[in-house]
Amino acid sequence: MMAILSVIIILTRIFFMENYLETLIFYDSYKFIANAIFTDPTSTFQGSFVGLISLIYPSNMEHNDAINFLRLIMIVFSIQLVLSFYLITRNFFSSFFAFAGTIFVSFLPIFMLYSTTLHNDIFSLAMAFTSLYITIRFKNFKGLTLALIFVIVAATTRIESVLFVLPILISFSRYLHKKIGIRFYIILSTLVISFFVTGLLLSQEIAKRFYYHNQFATPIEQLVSYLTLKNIIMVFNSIFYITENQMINNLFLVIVSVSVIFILILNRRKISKIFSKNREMNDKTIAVIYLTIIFGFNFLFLVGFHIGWSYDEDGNIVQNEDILPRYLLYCRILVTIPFVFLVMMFTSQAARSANSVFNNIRSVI
Amino acid sequence: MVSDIRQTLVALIFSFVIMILFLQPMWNSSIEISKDQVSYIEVYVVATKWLSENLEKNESAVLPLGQTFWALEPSLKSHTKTYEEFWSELDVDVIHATEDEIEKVRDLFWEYVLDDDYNVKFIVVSWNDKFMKSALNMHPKDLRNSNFCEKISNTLTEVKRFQLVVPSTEWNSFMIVCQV
Repeated sequence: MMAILSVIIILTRIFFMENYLETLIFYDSYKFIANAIFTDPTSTFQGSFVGLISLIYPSNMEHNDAINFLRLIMIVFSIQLVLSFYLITRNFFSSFFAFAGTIFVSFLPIFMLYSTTLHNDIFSLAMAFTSLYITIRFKNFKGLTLALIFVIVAATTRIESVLFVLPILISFSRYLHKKIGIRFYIILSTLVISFFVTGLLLSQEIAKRFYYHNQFATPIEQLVSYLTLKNIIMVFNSIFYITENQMINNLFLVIVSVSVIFILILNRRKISKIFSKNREMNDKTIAVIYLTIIFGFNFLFLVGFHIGWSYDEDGNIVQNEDILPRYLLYCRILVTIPFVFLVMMFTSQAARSANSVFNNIRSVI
Repeated sequence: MVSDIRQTLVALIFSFVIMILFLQPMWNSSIEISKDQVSYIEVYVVATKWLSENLEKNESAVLPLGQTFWALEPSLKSHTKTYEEFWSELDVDVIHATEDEIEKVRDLFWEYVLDDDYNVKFIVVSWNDKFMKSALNMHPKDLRNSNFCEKISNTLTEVKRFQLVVPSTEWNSFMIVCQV
Protein backbone atom coordinates (compact mmCIF):
# COMPACT_ATOMS: atom_id res chain seq x y z
CA MET A 1 0.00 0.00 0.00
CA MET A 2 2.78 2.41 0.93
CA ALA A 3 4.62 1.74 -2.31
CA ILE A 4 1.40 2.31 -4.29
CA LEU A 5 0.78 5.57 -2.41
CA SER A 6 4.30 6.76 -3.18
CA VAL A 7 3.90 5.96 -6.87
CA ILE A 8 0.52 7.74 -6.98
CA ILE A 9 2.02 10.85 -5.38
CA ILE A 10 4.97 10.88 -7.77
CA LEU A 11 2.81 10.36 -10.86
CA THR A 12 0.08 12.87 -9.95
CA ARG A 13 2.59 15.56 -8.97
CA ILE A 14 4.73 15.13 -12.07
CA PHE A 15 1.62 15.05 -14.28
CA PHE A 16 0.31 18.22 -12.61
CA MET A 17 3.64 20.01 -12.93
CA GLU A 18 4.05 19.03 -16.56
CA ASN A 19 0.55 20.09 -17.58
CA TYR A 20 -0.50 22.94 -15.33
CA LEU A 21 2.43 24.30 -13.37
CA GLU A 22 5.47 24.83 -15.50
CA THR A 23 6.54 27.67 -13.23
CA LEU A 24 6.49 28.05 -9.46
CA ILE A 25 3.23 29.75 -8.58
CA PHE A 26 3.68 31.47 -5.26
CA TYR A 27 5.81 34.55 -4.56
CA ASP A 28 7.05 32.86 -1.40
CA SER A 29 8.67 30.14 -3.49
CA TYR A 30 10.74 32.74 -5.32
CA LYS A 31 11.63 34.40 -2.03
CA PHE A 32 12.87 31.08 -0.66
CA ILE A 33 15.01 30.45 -3.74
CA ALA A 34 16.46 33.97 -3.70
CA ASN A 35 17.18 33.65 0.02
CA ALA A 36 18.78 30.27 -0.51
CA ILE A 37 20.99 31.49 -3.35
CA PHE A 38 21.91 34.99 -2.23
CA THR A 39 21.72 35.21 1.54
CA ASP A 40 22.88 33.34 4.56
CA PRO A 41 20.08 30.76 5.01
CA THR A 42 20.55 30.63 8.77
CA SER A 43 19.76 34.34 9.01
CA THR A 44 16.23 33.96 7.65
CA PHE A 45 13.06 33.01 9.45
CA GLN A 46 12.41 30.19 6.99
CA GLY A 47 15.25 28.44 8.80
CA SER A 48 15.56 24.77 8.04
CA PHE A 49 13.66 24.86 4.74
CA VAL A 50 15.74 27.61 3.12
CA GLY A 51 18.83 25.97 4.61
CA LEU A 52 17.83 22.72 2.93
CA ILE A 53 17.27 24.39 -0.45
CA SER A 54 20.60 26.13 -0.13
CA LEU A 55 22.28 22.84 0.69
CA ILE A 56 20.81 20.79 -2.17
CA TYR A 57 20.71 23.55 -4.83
CA PRO A 58 22.72 22.01 -7.69
CA SER A 59 24.92 24.96 -8.69
CA ASN A 60 26.47 22.97 -11.53
CA MET A 61 23.11 22.84 -13.35
CA GLU A 62 21.47 25.54 -15.45
CA HIS A 63 19.29 27.68 -13.11
CA ASN A 64 15.86 26.59 -14.45
CA ASP A 65 16.89 22.94 -14.43
CA ALA A 66 18.13 23.39 -10.88
CA ILE A 67 14.72 24.75 -9.81
CA ASN A 68 12.94 21.84 -11.51
CA PHE A 69 15.33 19.47 -9.77
CA LEU A 70 14.46 21.06 -6.41
CA ARG A 71 10.73 20.74 -7.16
CA LEU A 72 11.17 17.04 -7.85
CA ILE A 73 13.12 16.63 -4.62
CA MET A 74 10.29 18.37 -2.74
CA ILE A 75 7.90 15.62 -3.88
CA VAL A 76 9.78 13.43 -1.40
CA PHE A 77 8.28 15.47 1.44
CA SER A 78 4.78 15.02 0.01
CA ILE A 79 5.42 11.28 0.05
CA GLN A 80 6.70 11.55 3.63
CA LEU A 81 3.53 13.41 4.60
CA VAL A 82 1.07 10.97 3.03
CA LEU A 83 2.91 7.93 4.38
CA SER A 84 2.94 9.41 7.89
CA PHE A 85 -0.77 10.14 7.55
CA TYR A 86 -1.41 6.62 6.26
CA LEU A 87 0.49 5.06 9.16
CA ILE A 88 -1.37 7.22 11.70
CA THR A 89 -4.77 6.33 10.21
CA ARG A 90 -3.86 2.63 10.25
CA ASN A 91 -4.55 2.90 13.98
CA PHE A 92 -8.25 3.38 13.20
CA PHE A 93 -8.90 1.87 9.80
CA SER A 94 -8.14 -1.24 7.75
CA SER A 95 -5.38 -0.80 5.21
CA PHE A 96 -7.97 -0.26 2.47
CA PHE A 97 -9.78 2.61 4.19
CA ALA A 98 -6.52 4.15 5.43
CA PHE A 99 -5.34 4.00 1.83
CA ALA A 100 -8.57 5.60 0.54
CA GLY A 101 -8.34 8.37 3.16
CA THR A 102 -4.73 9.06 2.25
CA ILE A 103 -5.61 9.28 -1.43
CA PHE A 104 -8.33 11.77 -0.48
CA VAL A 105 -5.79 13.88 1.42
CA SER A 106 -3.30 13.74 -1.43
CA PHE A 107 -5.91 15.20 -3.81
CA LEU A 108 -6.82 18.16 -1.61
CA PRO A 109 -6.28 21.09 -4.00
CA ILE A 110 -4.13 23.09 -1.60
CA PHE A 111 -1.94 20.07 -0.95
CA MET A 112 -1.69 19.42 -4.68
CA LEU A 113 -0.65 23.01 -5.40
CA TYR A 114 1.82 23.40 -2.56
CA SER A 115 3.44 20.05 -3.17
CA THR A 116 4.18 20.90 -6.79
CA THR A 117 5.68 24.29 -6.14
CA LEU A 118 8.63 25.00 -3.88
CA HIS A 119 7.10 25.86 -0.54
CA ASN A 120 7.90 25.30 3.11
CA ASP A 121 4.36 24.30 4.16
CA ILE A 122 4.47 20.72 2.91
CA PHE A 123 7.99 20.29 4.28
CA SER A 124 6.82 21.46 7.69
CA LEU A 125 3.65 19.33 7.62
CA ALA A 126 5.67 16.26 6.62
CA MET A 127 8.04 16.72 9.55
CA ALA A 128 5.19 17.39 11.99
CA PHE A 129 3.10 14.37 10.97
CA THR A 130 6.18 12.13 11.01
CA SER A 131 6.81 13.32 14.55
CA LEU A 132 3.22 12.49 15.47
CA TYR A 133 3.49 9.00 14.00
CA ILE A 134 6.71 8.34 15.92
CA THR A 135 5.12 9.67 19.13
CA ILE A 136 2.18 7.28 18.79
CA ARG A 137 4.22 4.29 17.66
CA PHE A 138 7.37 4.48 19.79
CA LYS A 139 6.83 5.44 23.38
CA ASN A 140 10.39 5.01 24.64
CA PHE A 141 12.96 7.74 25.26
CA LYS A 142 14.76 7.28 21.93
CA GLY A 143 11.50 7.43 19.98
CA LEU A 144 10.34 10.57 21.74
CA THR A 145 13.71 12.25 21.21
CA LEU A 146 13.49 11.46 17.50
CA ALA A 147 9.92 12.84 17.42
CA LEU A 148 11.14 16.01 19.13
CA ILE A 149 13.85 16.48 16.50
CA PHE A 150 11.22 16.27 13.75
CA VAL A 151 9.07 18.86 15.56
CA ILE A 152 12.03 21.23 15.93
CA VAL A 153 12.72 20.97 12.19
CA ALA A 154 9.03 21.57 11.46
CA ALA A 155 8.72 24.48 13.89
CA THR A 156 11.79 26.28 12.55
CA THR A 157 9.96 26.27 9.23
CA ARG A 158 6.41 27.02 10.36
CA ILE A 159 6.05 28.14 13.95
CA GLU A 160 2.61 26.60 14.57
CA SER A 161 4.10 23.12 14.05
CA VAL A 162 5.42 23.54 17.57
CA LEU A 163 1.96 22.36 18.71
CA PHE A 164 3.08 18.85 17.82
CA VAL A 165 5.24 19.00 20.94
CA LEU A 166 2.08 18.51 23.04
CA PRO A 167 1.67 14.80 22.16
CA ILE A 168 5.37 14.31 22.87
CA LEU A 169 4.92 15.88 26.31
CA ILE A 170 1.98 13.58 27.05
CA SER A 171 3.92 10.51 25.93
CA PHE A 172 6.98 11.64 27.86
CA SER A 173 4.86 12.12 31.00
CA ARG A 174 3.51 8.59 30.61
CA TYR A 175 7.06 7.32 30.10
CA LEU A 176 8.34 9.10 33.22
CA HIS A 177 5.31 7.95 35.22
CA LYS A 178 6.13 4.33 34.40
CA LYS A 179 9.87 4.77 35.00
CA ILE A 180 9.98 6.80 38.21
CA GLY A 181 6.45 6.47 39.56
CA ILE A 182 5.56 10.16 39.93
CA ARG A 183 1.89 10.81 39.19
CA PHE A 184 1.18 11.27 35.50
CA TYR A 185 -0.87 14.47 35.81
CA ILE A 186 1.77 16.18 38.00
CA ILE A 187 4.48 15.53 35.39
CA LEU A 188 2.20 16.48 32.51
CA SER A 189 0.94 19.73 34.01
CA THR A 190 4.53 20.75 34.92
CA LEU A 191 5.74 20.04 31.39
CA VAL A 192 2.78 21.69 29.65
CA ILE A 193 2.92 24.83 31.81
CA SER A 194 6.70 25.07 31.27
CA PHE A 195 6.16 24.62 27.53
CA PHE A 196 3.56 27.37 27.25
CA VAL A 197 5.43 29.84 29.47
CA THR A 198 8.75 29.26 27.66
CA GLY A 199 7.01 29.30 24.31
CA LEU A 200 5.25 32.54 25.08
CA LEU A 201 8.45 34.24 26.19
CA LEU A 202 10.49 32.96 23.26
CA SER A 203 7.82 33.60 20.66
CA GLN A 204 7.14 37.17 21.73
CA GLU A 205 9.56 38.62 19.18
CA ILE A 206 8.68 36.17 16.42
CA ALA A 207 4.97 36.72 17.01
CA LYS A 208 5.41 40.48 17.00
CA ARG A 209 7.02 40.25 13.60
CA PHE A 210 4.83 37.69 11.94
CA TYR A 211 1.60 36.94 13.72
CA TYR A 212 0.16 40.09 15.18
CA HIS A 213 0.21 43.76 14.56
CA ASN A 214 1.03 46.57 16.96
CA GLN A 215 -2.59 46.95 18.01
CA PHE A 216 -1.95 44.25 20.62
CA ALA A 217 0.75 44.11 23.25
CA THR A 218 1.00 40.32 23.44
CA PRO A 219 -0.07 37.29 21.38
CA ILE A 220 -2.50 36.32 24.16
CA GLU A 221 -4.21 39.70 23.87
CA GLN A 222 -4.67 39.20 20.14
CA LEU A 223 -5.93 35.65 20.64
CA VAL A 224 -8.53 36.79 23.16
CA SER A 225 -9.60 39.65 20.93
CA TYR A 226 -9.94 37.49 17.81
CA LEU A 227 -11.68 34.61 19.54
CA THR A 228 -15.21 35.65 18.64
CA LEU A 229 -18.11 33.48 17.50
CA LYS A 230 -18.04 35.15 14.09
CA ASN A 231 -14.36 34.31 13.58
CA ILE A 232 -14.78 30.77 14.88
CA ILE A 233 -17.62 30.14 12.41
CA MET A 234 -15.65 31.72 9.58
CA VAL A 235 -12.57 29.56 10.22
CA PHE A 236 -14.71 26.44 10.74
CA ASN A 237 -16.48 26.95 7.40
CA SER A 238 -13.19 27.69 5.65
CA ILE A 239 -11.79 24.31 6.70
CA PHE A 240 -14.49 22.62 4.64
CA TYR A 241 -14.06 24.82 1.59
CA ILE A 242 -12.01 22.12 -0.14
CA THR A 243 -13.14 22.71 -3.72
CA GLU A 244 -14.64 25.46 -5.85
CA ASN A 245 -17.87 23.41 -5.87
CA GLN A 246 -19.98 24.54 -2.90
CA MET A 247 -22.24 21.48 -3.04
CA ILE A 248 -19.25 19.17 -2.57
CA ASN A 249 -17.95 21.38 0.26
CA ASN A 250 -21.32 21.23 2.03
CA LEU A 251 -21.46 17.47 1.58
CA PHE A 252 -17.98 17.19 3.09
CA LEU A 253 -19.04 19.34 6.05
CA VAL A 254 -22.19 17.27 6.62
CA ILE A 255 -20.33 13.94 6.43
CA VAL A 256 -17.63 15.09 8.85
CA SER A 257 -20.18 16.55 11.29
CA VAL A 258 -22.37 13.44 11.27
CA SER A 259 -19.28 11.29 11.66
CA VAL A 260 -18.02 13.23 14.71
CA ILE A 261 -21.47 12.86 16.32
CA PHE A 262 -21.41 9.11 15.58
CA ILE A 263 -17.88 8.77 16.98
CA LEU A 264 -18.88 10.58 20.18
CA ILE A 265 -22.02 8.48 20.65
CA LEU A 266 -20.34 5.16 19.88
CA ASN A 267 -17.40 5.91 22.19
CA ARG A 268 -19.18 7.74 25.01
CA ARG A 269 -18.16 5.14 27.61
CA LYS A 270 -14.52 5.15 26.53
CA ILE A 271 -14.46 8.96 26.56
CA SER A 272 -15.78 9.10 30.11
CA LYS A 273 -13.02 6.73 31.22
CA ILE A 274 -10.12 8.58 29.56
CA PHE A 275 -9.33 10.61 32.67
CA SER A 276 -9.74 7.73 35.10
CA LYS A 277 -6.74 6.59 37.13
CA ASN A 278 -4.29 3.96 35.84
CA ARG A 279 -6.18 3.61 32.60
CA GLU A 280 -4.09 1.78 30.03
CA MET A 281 -4.71 3.24 26.60
CA ASN A 282 -4.12 1.48 23.31
CA ASP A 283 -2.51 3.15 20.29
CA LYS A 284 -5.93 3.89 18.78
CA THR A 285 -7.13 5.85 21.81
CA ILE A 286 -3.79 7.63 22.12
CA ALA A 287 -3.90 8.60 18.44
CA VAL A 288 -7.45 9.97 18.78
CA ILE A 289 -6.45 12.06 21.81
CA TYR A 290 -3.35 13.45 20.10
CA LEU A 291 -5.16 14.27 16.88
CA THR A 292 -7.97 15.99 18.79
CA ILE A 293 -5.47 18.06 20.79
CA ILE A 294 -3.61 19.10 17.64
CA PHE A 295 -6.82 19.95 15.83
CA GLY A 296 -8.08 22.00 18.79
CA PHE A 297 -4.90 24.01 19.27
CA ASN A 298 -4.39 24.47 15.54
CA PHE A 299 -7.94 25.76 15.26
CA LEU A 300 -7.25 28.26 18.06
CA PHE A 301 -4.05 29.30 16.29
CA LEU A 302 -5.96 29.86 13.05
CA VAL A 303 -8.57 32.03 14.72
CA GLY A 304 -6.04 33.98 16.78
CA PHE A 305 -3.22 34.55 14.34
CA HIS A 306 -4.13 33.72 10.77
CA ILE A 307 -7.22 35.75 9.98
CA GLY A 308 -6.23 38.40 7.48
CA TRP A 309 -6.37 42.09 8.34
CA SER A 310 -5.82 45.39 6.59
CA TYR A 311 -6.01 49.12 7.25
CA ASP A 312 -9.01 51.21 6.34
CA GLU A 313 -8.68 54.74 4.96
CA ASP A 314 -8.37 56.18 8.48
CA GLY A 315 -5.56 53.81 9.34
CA ASN A 316 -7.69 51.62 11.61
CA ILE A 317 -7.14 47.89 11.60
CA VAL A 318 -9.95 45.99 9.89
CA GLN A 319 -10.34 42.24 10.03
CA ASN A 320 -10.76 40.53 6.69
CA GLU A 321 -13.44 37.95 6.13
CA ASP A 322 -11.02 35.31 4.98
CA ILE A 323 -8.05 33.18 5.86
CA LEU A 324 -5.28 32.01 3.55
CA PRO A 325 -6.14 28.42 2.52
CA ARG A 326 -2.63 27.14 3.11
CA TYR A 327 -2.94 27.84 6.82
CA LEU A 328 -5.95 25.50 6.89
CA LEU A 329 -4.07 22.49 5.62
CA TYR A 330 -3.40 20.95 9.06
CA CYS A 331 -7.08 21.06 9.97
CA ARG A 332 -8.23 19.93 6.52
CA ILE A 333 -6.00 16.88 6.71
CA LEU A 334 -7.24 16.05 10.20
CA VAL A 335 -10.97 16.31 9.39
CA THR A 336 -10.42 13.73 6.68
CA ILE A 337 -10.23 11.09 9.42
CA PRO A 338 -13.88 11.41 10.57
CA PHE A 339 -14.86 11.69 6.90
CA VAL A 340 -13.26 8.32 6.15
CA PHE A 341 -14.80 6.86 9.30
CA LEU A 342 -18.35 7.57 8.10
CA VAL A 343 -17.57 6.42 4.56
CA MET A 344 -16.24 3.20 6.06
CA MET A 345 -19.36 2.70 8.18
CA PHE A 346 -21.62 3.47 5.24
CA THR A 347 -19.85 1.21 2.75
CA SER A 348 -19.57 -1.67 5.21
CA GLN A 349 -23.26 -1.42 6.02
CA ALA A 350 -24.15 -1.06 2.34
CA ALA A 351 -22.07 -4.11 1.50
CA ARG A 352 -23.76 -6.19 4.20
CA SER A 353 -27.19 -5.06 3.02
CA ALA A 354 -26.36 -5.77 -0.61
CA ASN A 355 -25.11 -9.20 0.36
CA SER A 356 -28.26 -10.05 2.30
CA VAL A 357 -30.45 -8.77 -0.57
CA PHE A 358 -28.47 -10.98 -2.94
CA ASN A 359 -28.91 -13.99 -0.64
CA ASN A 360 -32.65 -13.35 -0.36
CA ILE A 361 -33.05 -13.10 -4.12
CA ARG A 362 -31.10 -16.32 -4.55
CA SER A 363 -33.21 -18.18 -1.97
CA VAL A 364 -36.42 -16.97 -3.66
CA ILE A 365 -35.17 -18.14 -7.05
CA MET B 1 -16.19 -17.37 1.51
CA VAL B 2 -18.04 -16.32 -1.67
CA SER B 3 -20.25 -14.14 0.50
CA ASP B 4 -17.18 -12.40 2.03
CA ILE B 5 -15.68 -11.72 -1.38
CA ARG B 6 -19.00 -10.34 -2.60
CA GLN B 7 -19.28 -8.12 0.46
CA THR B 8 -15.76 -6.79 -0.02
CA LEU B 9 -16.45 -6.17 -3.68
CA VAL B 10 -19.59 -4.16 -2.94
CA ALA B 11 -17.68 -2.15 -0.27
CA LEU B 12 -14.95 -1.45 -2.82
CA ILE B 13 -17.46 -0.25 -5.42
CA PHE B 14 -19.22 2.01 -2.91
CA SER B 15 -15.94 3.49 -1.70
CA PHE B 16 -14.80 4.00 -5.26
CA VAL B 17 -18.00 5.87 -6.15
CA ILE B 18 -17.71 8.14 -3.08
CA MET B 19 -14.05 8.81 -3.79
CA ILE B 20 -14.73 9.74 -7.41
CA LEU B 21 -17.54 12.03 -6.27
CA PHE B 22 -14.97 14.06 -4.31
CA LEU B 23 -11.72 13.51 -6.19
CA GLN B 24 -12.98 14.76 -9.52
CA PRO B 25 -14.05 18.23 -8.23
CA MET B 26 -10.88 18.42 -6.14
CA TRP B 27 -8.74 17.76 -9.20
CA ASN B 28 -10.72 20.35 -11.21
CA SER B 29 -10.31 22.90 -8.42
CA SER B 30 -6.56 22.29 -8.35
CA ILE B 31 -6.42 23.06 -12.06
CA GLU B 32 -8.63 26.14 -11.72
CA ILE B 33 -6.63 27.60 -8.82
CA SER B 34 -3.35 26.83 -10.56
CA LYS B 35 -4.48 28.72 -13.68
CA ASP B 36 -5.21 31.79 -11.56
CA GLN B 37 -1.90 31.58 -9.73
CA VAL B 38 0.06 31.02 -12.92
CA SER B 39 -1.48 34.16 -14.43
CA TYR B 40 0.07 36.31 -11.65
CA ILE B 41 3.50 34.72 -11.96
CA GLU B 42 3.49 34.57 -15.76
CA VAL B 43 3.67 38.38 -15.85
CA TYR B 44 6.83 38.25 -13.73
CA VAL B 45 8.31 35.53 -15.93
CA VAL B 46 7.77 37.54 -19.13
CA ALA B 47 8.93 40.79 -17.51
CA THR B 48 12.09 39.14 -16.18
CA LYS B 49 12.94 37.88 -19.65
CA TRP B 50 12.31 41.33 -21.13
CA LEU B 51 14.42 43.05 -18.48
CA SER B 52 17.36 40.69 -18.85
CA GLU B 53 17.32 41.38 -22.60
CA ASN B 54 17.00 45.15 -22.26
CA LEU B 55 19.09 46.00 -19.22
CA GLU B 56 22.83 46.26 -19.79
CA LYS B 57 25.29 45.23 -17.08
CA ASN B 58 26.20 48.84 -16.31
CA GLU B 59 22.53 49.89 -16.02
CA SER B 60 20.24 49.33 -13.09
CA ALA B 61 16.52 49.06 -12.32
CA VAL B 62 14.18 49.22 -9.34
CA LEU B 63 11.91 46.20 -8.99
CA PRO B 64 8.73 45.26 -7.10
CA LEU B 65 9.06 41.95 -5.21
CA GLY B 66 12.65 41.85 -6.44
CA GLN B 67 13.27 38.36 -5.12
CA THR B 68 10.82 36.99 -7.69
CA PHE B 69 12.91 38.53 -10.49
CA TRP B 70 16.16 37.35 -8.92
CA ALA B 71 14.94 33.80 -8.47
CA LEU B 72 13.86 33.74 -12.11
CA GLU B 73 17.09 35.33 -13.36
CA PRO B 74 19.88 35.41 -10.76
CA SER B 75 22.11 37.66 -12.92
CA LEU B 76 19.67 40.56 -12.31
CA LYS B 77 20.52 40.63 -8.61
CA SER B 78 23.84 42.44 -9.07
CA HIS B 79 22.38 45.46 -10.86
CA THR B 80 18.82 45.87 -9.57
CA LYS B 81 17.32 47.10 -6.34
CA THR B 82 13.99 46.48 -4.65
CA TYR B 83 11.61 49.12 -3.32
CA GLU B 84 11.85 47.41 0.04
CA GLU B 85 15.55 48.27 0.26
CA PHE B 86 14.78 52.01 0.50
CA TRP B 87 12.61 51.35 3.54
CA SER B 88 15.23 49.09 5.11
CA GLU B 89 18.00 51.62 4.56
CA LEU B 90 16.08 54.15 6.65
CA ASP B 91 14.79 51.45 9.00
CA VAL B 92 11.18 52.50 8.41
CA ASP B 93 8.29 50.07 8.90
CA VAL B 94 6.08 50.54 5.84
CA ILE B 95 2.84 49.70 7.69
CA HIS B 96 3.34 52.04 10.62
CA ALA B 97 5.34 54.78 8.92
CA THR B 98 4.56 58.41 9.73
CA GLU B 99 4.08 60.99 6.98
CA ASP B 100 7.58 62.34 7.72
CA GLU B 101 9.16 58.90 7.40
CA ILE B 102 7.31 58.21 4.15
CA GLU B 103 8.53 61.52 2.79
CA LYS B 104 12.12 60.63 3.68
CA VAL B 105 11.82 57.28 1.90
CA ARG B 106 10.39 59.00 -1.19
CA ASP B 107 13.26 61.50 -1.19
CA LEU B 108 15.80 58.70 -0.91
CA PHE B 109 14.09 56.80 -3.71
CA TRP B 110 14.06 59.72 -6.14
CA GLU B 111 17.64 60.72 -5.25
CA TYR B 112 18.71 57.21 -6.17
CA VAL B 113 16.66 57.05 -9.36
CA LEU B 114 17.86 60.43 -10.64
CA ASP B 115 21.49 60.08 -9.56
CA ASP B 116 23.64 59.55 -12.69
CA ASP B 117 26.14 57.48 -10.68
CA TYR B 118 23.62 54.67 -10.27
CA ASN B 119 22.57 54.79 -13.90
CA VAL B 120 18.97 53.74 -13.24
CA LYS B 121 17.38 52.95 -16.58
CA PHE B 122 14.03 51.44 -15.54
CA ILE B 123 11.66 51.46 -12.64
CA VAL B 124 9.21 48.57 -12.76
CA VAL B 125 5.77 48.98 -11.23
CA SER B 126 3.24 46.25 -10.43
CA TRP B 127 0.03 45.73 -8.48
CA ASN B 128 1.37 43.93 -5.46
CA ASP B 129 4.30 45.53 -3.66
CA LYS B 130 3.35 47.54 -0.58
CA PHE B 131 6.80 49.19 -0.44
CA MET B 132 6.41 50.35 -4.02
CA LYS B 133 2.85 51.67 -3.56
CA SER B 134 3.90 53.86 -0.68
CA ALA B 135 7.20 54.98 -2.20
CA LEU B 136 5.51 56.04 -5.44
CA ASN B 137 2.36 57.28 -3.71
CA MET B 138 0.18 55.25 -6.05
CA HIS B 139 -2.84 52.94 -6.01
CA PRO B 140 -2.95 49.72 -8.08
CA LYS B 141 -5.91 51.06 -10.06
CA ASP B 142 -3.60 53.86 -11.33
CA LEU B 143 -1.85 51.19 -13.41
CA ARG B 144 -4.83 51.28 -15.79
CA ASN B 145 -3.97 54.86 -16.80
CA SER B 146 -2.37 55.01 -20.20
CA ASN B 147 0.13 57.67 -19.08
CA PHE B 148 0.91 56.14 -15.70
CA CYS B 149 4.67 56.77 -15.79
CA GLU B 150 4.31 60.40 -16.79
CA LYS B 151 1.83 60.93 -13.95
CA ILE B 152 4.27 59.54 -11.40
CA SER B 153 7.03 61.85 -12.60
CA ASN B 154 7.74 63.85 -15.71
CA THR B 155 11.20 62.24 -15.80
CA LEU B 156 9.62 58.86 -16.63
CA THR B 157 8.35 57.41 -19.90
CA GLU B 158 6.47 54.16 -20.35
CA VAL B 159 8.41 51.67 -22.47
CA LYS B 160 6.64 48.39 -21.80
CA ARG B 161 3.35 47.15 -20.35
CA PHE B 162 2.59 43.54 -19.40
CA GLN B 163 -1.03 42.64 -18.82
CA LEU B 164 -2.38 40.38 -16.09
CA VAL B 165 -5.82 38.78 -16.46
CA VAL B 166 -6.93 36.36 -13.75
CA PRO B 167 -8.94 33.65 -15.58
CA SER B 168 -11.56 32.89 -12.91
CA THR B 169 -12.48 36.49 -12.03
CA GLU B 170 -11.24 38.31 -15.13
CA TRP B 171 -9.64 40.82 -12.76
CA ASN B 172 -6.90 42.58 -14.64
CA SER B 173 -3.96 44.81 -13.97
CA PHE B 174 -0.57 45.66 -15.41
CA MET B 175 3.11 45.55 -14.76
CA ILE B 176 4.61 48.67 -16.29
CA VAL B 177 8.21 49.44 -17.08
CA CYS B 178 9.03 53.14 -16.92
CA GLN B 179 12.25 54.40 -18.43
CA VAL B 180 14.09 57.14 -16.56
